[in-house]
Amino acid sequence: MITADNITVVFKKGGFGKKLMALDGFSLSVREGDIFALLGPNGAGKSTAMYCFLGLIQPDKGSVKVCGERPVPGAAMFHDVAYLPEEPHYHLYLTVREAVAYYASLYGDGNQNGRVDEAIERVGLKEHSDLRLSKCSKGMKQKVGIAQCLINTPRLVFLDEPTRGLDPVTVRDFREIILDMNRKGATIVINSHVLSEIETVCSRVAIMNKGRVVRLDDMNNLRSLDKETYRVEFSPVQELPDYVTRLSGNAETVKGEIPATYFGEFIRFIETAGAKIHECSLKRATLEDAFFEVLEKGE
Amino acid sequence: MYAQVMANIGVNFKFYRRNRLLLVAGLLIMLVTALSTVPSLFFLTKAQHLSIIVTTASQLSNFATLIIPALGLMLISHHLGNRSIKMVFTKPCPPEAWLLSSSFSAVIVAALFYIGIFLICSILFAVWSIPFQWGLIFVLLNDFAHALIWLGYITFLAVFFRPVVAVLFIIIFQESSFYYLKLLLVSGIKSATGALALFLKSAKGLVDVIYMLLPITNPFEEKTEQVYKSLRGGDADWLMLIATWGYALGISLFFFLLANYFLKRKRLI
Repeated sequence: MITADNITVVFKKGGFGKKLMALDGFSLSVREGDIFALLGPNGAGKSTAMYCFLGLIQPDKGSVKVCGERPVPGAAMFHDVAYLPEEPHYHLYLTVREAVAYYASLYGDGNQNGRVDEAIERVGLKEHSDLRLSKCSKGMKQKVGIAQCLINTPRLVFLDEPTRGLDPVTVRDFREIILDMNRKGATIVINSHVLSEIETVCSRVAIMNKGRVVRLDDMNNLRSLDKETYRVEFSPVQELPDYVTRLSGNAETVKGEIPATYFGEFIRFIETAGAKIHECSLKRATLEDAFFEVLEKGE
Repeated sequence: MYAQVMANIGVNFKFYRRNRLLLVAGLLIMLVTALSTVPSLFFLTKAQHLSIIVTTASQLSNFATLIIPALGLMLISHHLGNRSIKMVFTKPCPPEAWLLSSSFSAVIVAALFYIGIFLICSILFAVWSIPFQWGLIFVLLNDFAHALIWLGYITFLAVFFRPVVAVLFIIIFQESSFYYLKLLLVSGIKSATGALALFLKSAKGLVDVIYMLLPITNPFEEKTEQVYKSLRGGDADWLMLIATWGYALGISLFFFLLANYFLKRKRLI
């Protein structure tokens, strides 16, 4: 669906031509049907990468293909694309309804009034449809952005910091919208700092740092089982196996941590030793753990 | 592309309608016109009425020639400046459709403006029982063509510069100012010797190149002077008007293509 091959984007800072490498040998591929996340610290190049996918920036080197085409502003391929910008860069002099109707009309598919109203209602802005965008709150503007993404049943959706400024209820609704779009066949590319949000919805992740992808993997691999551990409290035994990390203990109980892959073996060990497990809890590896590990290792 | 152009024109008119700066400018024009014409309806002698019509037509037409490029500049600068253009170009709406609709919007307003001036002057002709002067149509069409040239020029500049810089650029880089600079340099070269003469010659070469590159905003200015003063149809050279329109459309197309080329290469973030 998207392929980026060795992209370089350089920005000139100030009038004296000081250069800033925003993307440096950035390569990536997004498969059809993925819910794909671009992660990385500030300045990693996530937004720049998204702008390249959208044709808003032409890379200095390398090539980008989206839906099999080189993205250029206003190309025909945008019939199948929806984009939610990070900042509310909308036509602020329009009302909510006018703005969504305008963006819908740019698809050139004739009368879309029904779909416009439906989209406005879906994001909960029906009562404010006559309010000018300049008077809307940040969250309301974000909802307008979401509404305009719902108009054309897109095949590819770009979401740049999608839950910025949204209240928890809307965040939950929005998550449902994303999953629903994906169920209907849309490939979704999300750029977000909210790792918990990414973890909930995304199937594939690219972790970026200093303008390049340092890890590209499925979400399940990133949070792989060997990073999951069990915290167990059990009655003392003579000698602990190597895979058990002793955390604390006294004459009554021992607290320890066991990699999830050794859990079955540990149960058998306890049974054989005639000991008892008093308490056991699974400590899942989160995306946050994986994210920091990747950045620290500098993969 | 038709649907996209129409959609953009619709939105551009909303932009114009809701823009307070334009509202103030419109009210100011109406006020100035009213102040200069209404009292004369009651106090002036019949002999002075024609000159009042000439002044009114020229005053309003000058306003229009100033405002039409400003409308184009505002549209382009506003949408590029607040980055709402991102929302347009990430839809199947190419830069040429957007630029075309911006120019069309300004041209439609211009046409309405000139029709308005025509109606005001025609009413004055009728009220004061003066035979209609066909030169009025010539003057208005000629000024409309000038407005188109300015519009094309400033639309192109607006793609690169902020509005203030674009206006400053247009004030400095005018064909007329470079023409006078050329004349100054020619007389300077005649009187100078040695290194100074060499410097002035190379400066003239540079000025010549810039002069050739700049659009002529008022072609046939000297030849149309008389009709502007009298509004008489007999003083109007209609072939010259056709040539002016040909030039205006040609230069507008040139600037449109240039603006489109650079807009496609601009980093729209």
